[in-house]
Amino acid sequence: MSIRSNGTNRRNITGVLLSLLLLAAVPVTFGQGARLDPSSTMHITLPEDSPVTVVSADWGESTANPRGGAMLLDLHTSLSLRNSGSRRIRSITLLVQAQEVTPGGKASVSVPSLNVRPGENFPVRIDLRLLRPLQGGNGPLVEIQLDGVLFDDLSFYGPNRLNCRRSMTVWELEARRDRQYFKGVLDARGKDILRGEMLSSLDRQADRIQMDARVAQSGRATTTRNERQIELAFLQQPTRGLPVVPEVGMVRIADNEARSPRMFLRSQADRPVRGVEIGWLVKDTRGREFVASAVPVDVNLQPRQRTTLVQDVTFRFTQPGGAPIVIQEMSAFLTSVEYADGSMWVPERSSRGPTPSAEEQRLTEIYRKRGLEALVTELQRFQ
Amino acid sequence: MIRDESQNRKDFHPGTKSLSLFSGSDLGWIDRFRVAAHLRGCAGCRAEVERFRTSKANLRAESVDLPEGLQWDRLAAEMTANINLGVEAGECVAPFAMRTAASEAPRRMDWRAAAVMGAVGAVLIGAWFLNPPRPHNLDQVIRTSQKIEIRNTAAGLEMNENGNSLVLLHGSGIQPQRAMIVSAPGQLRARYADGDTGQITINHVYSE
Repeated sequence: MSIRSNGTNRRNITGVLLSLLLLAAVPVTFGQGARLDPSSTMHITLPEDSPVTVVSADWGESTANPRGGAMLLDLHTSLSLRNSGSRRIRSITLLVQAQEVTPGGKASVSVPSLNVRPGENFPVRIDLRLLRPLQGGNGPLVEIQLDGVLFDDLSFYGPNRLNCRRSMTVWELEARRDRQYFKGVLDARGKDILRGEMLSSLDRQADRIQMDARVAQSGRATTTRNERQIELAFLQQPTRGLPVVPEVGMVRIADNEARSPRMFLRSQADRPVRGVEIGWLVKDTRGREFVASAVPVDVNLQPRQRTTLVQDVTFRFTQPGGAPIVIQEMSAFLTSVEYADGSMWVPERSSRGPTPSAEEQRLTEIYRKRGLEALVTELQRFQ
Repeated sequence: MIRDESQNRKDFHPGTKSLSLFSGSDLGWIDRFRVAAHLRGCAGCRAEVERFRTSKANLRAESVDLPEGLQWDRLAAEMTANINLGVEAGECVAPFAMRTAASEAPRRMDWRAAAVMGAVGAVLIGAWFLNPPRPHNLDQVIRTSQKIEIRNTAAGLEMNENGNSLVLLHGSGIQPQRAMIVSAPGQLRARYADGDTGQITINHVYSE
């Protein structure tokens, strides 16, 4: 009797242990997530006459995990694209849309500072996460389309649905400017000075991340008693060579809102200007500076003419966490000018804004990861 | 004369309430003993108790006298008739309530009603086939969709619409890359260097 009893207990204990193991295995299995069928999640569409073609797509560790009443999809892909055209590619923008998940929004992934010769392959990584209802449709979740390709002669291919041509041209002009500057430092002053330039640039980038501000266009201004009008300061930019000179500006500020900025612009260009991009530098009551980026503004400015630029908008400035930035001072700086013929102007390096260019970030990353010699090789590769 | 219910001091007299209750023998026995002891030495309070007793006796005497000309026999007959009337009315109502409950029992549908309902159903089905609901095109979906929220999180740029979200991640590694965020109204842009290749990637989300 006692032996049978012991045997029964042993079987019970074994059963409990097996159940615990199964219970422990369930979350592990769900945590790893089910592997996804790429064809059912992402669909890449390129035009027939596209200068780039898809060589391969590595879907890596794309997974799907149920989370409550929703499905969480981690989609990671590294596309290998080939330059099938006859010109060097400098940058590319892919439009990313998820009609089932966020039908009203758009997203894009751009890769600037490229130097892809005809026939060469280059990678484009797309890493995204989707949270959608469990009951999804049967079609692909994510549509990836080509929005634009910029070549080394600044010519452009693509539907330009996101107006990416303007940004891509600015990135390329800034890249040329900064590469030329660092190459000049290397040639004229040597590797040690170039190293110093890299270190000071890394410092500036770290500072810039701390100066991050969010700017949103407020639909309606909040009525408040402490609204006041202040004169806009302009970042020191040598007027020589500027196609457009901001002469004076005013803005009404209240708490963290800036209303109806007004600027008087004078053209020094010999071509009509159709757009300017203005960056904002906001100083709060504690003296901290925040950068909120460039806001493109359409303007019709004829050669050697003056115009008043009035924006009937209210900008609301907040810190990344959502805390309002109580505005004490505001400065504006010109980040780019678009001529009527579609060509662009960017400021010289000495008068650029506080945000380093993508190319400067790339070069400093090469220095940080691979050292000075790799940087020197990279600078000479672009000649 | 000062009347105080506390009666702690000898100068004080029992209150009107105590005297009134004493006069009707409604006071508790301890208080009755105390008030009686006080009344033995206080002529004023005794007179007060006597007035209460007189008033009570007068009231009782008045309530005993019935109005003149009241005919008890006739009053009793009317009351009996009213009671009988009520009983008979109750007996009349009970069968009616039973009949009403019986009439609410489900009855078989008349063939005419079935024919009318069938005809109406045929008209409705025909109308649905002639005017099928049109599928919403993309523009309509975008117009009717709720506001899209865009924000930057530690993982990446998030676009949220009706609880569903799309996040463009800052890199693929376990440790997200430090991204430089550029903000414009209705737009967020994050720029980061790929940890493996050093290639710069610029993610961009648009809510407008």
